[in-house]
Amino acid sequence: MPTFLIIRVKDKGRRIINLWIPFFIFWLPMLVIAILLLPLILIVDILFQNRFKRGSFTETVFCFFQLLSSLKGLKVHVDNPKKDSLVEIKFI
Amino acid sequence: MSDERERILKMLAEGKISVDESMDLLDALGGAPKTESTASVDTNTGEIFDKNLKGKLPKFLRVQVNGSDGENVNVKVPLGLLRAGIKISSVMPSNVSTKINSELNDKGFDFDLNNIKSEDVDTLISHLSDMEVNVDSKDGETVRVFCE
Repeated sequence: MPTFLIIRVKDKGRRIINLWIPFFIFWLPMLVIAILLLPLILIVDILFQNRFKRGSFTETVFCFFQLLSSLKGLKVHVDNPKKDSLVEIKFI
Repeated sequence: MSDERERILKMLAEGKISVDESMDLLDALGGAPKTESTASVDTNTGEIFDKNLKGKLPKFLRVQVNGSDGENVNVKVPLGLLRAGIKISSVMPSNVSTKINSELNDKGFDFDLNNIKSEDVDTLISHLSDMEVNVDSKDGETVRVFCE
């Protein structure tokens, strides 16, 4: 699971944005909310079980968390040394 | 894959030889040191599963572009996102997947999202490790796409 989201933007040598967003502080509240909402999710699952082709609503929620956790390592880095500009977004 | 190796794997899939025997034969062909067999055969479907397959899977898709004007682009995408995306597509409601399949068919893609399994994704990702695209233009721009 990613712990930080780093966003850096630099233009003509000036650092415009340098954000270190602690992703990990969202995980624990999300986990607590997921546990609290689990009975509701299971009820939705039972009521709408025919609507989902292969999985269930519960599985969909777990897939969503899996998608978020697989973001670790994602990096987009664009820089131009001549113009001294940089845009970087990464999950570590 | 050489013909001999292919023949050995076919015999294993057909159940004519055991996994240990196939490993001995493959070792004899390649001279590779004996290792503990991690392969198993599903006797119902004849498919061969290798427990070590996941250990050899590349983890990231890399795209590197170096422009002629000095601009550099470096993108690193975890391949786990692909797996997670495929899993989400498998739990989509049937009317949504039908719409997507029809749109893909209209664009000329004879493709059914419902037929994608997680084993297929692992096989696809394992073959991506051999993929490398290198483009060099006259202007000095280079593009590299590879998996690591």
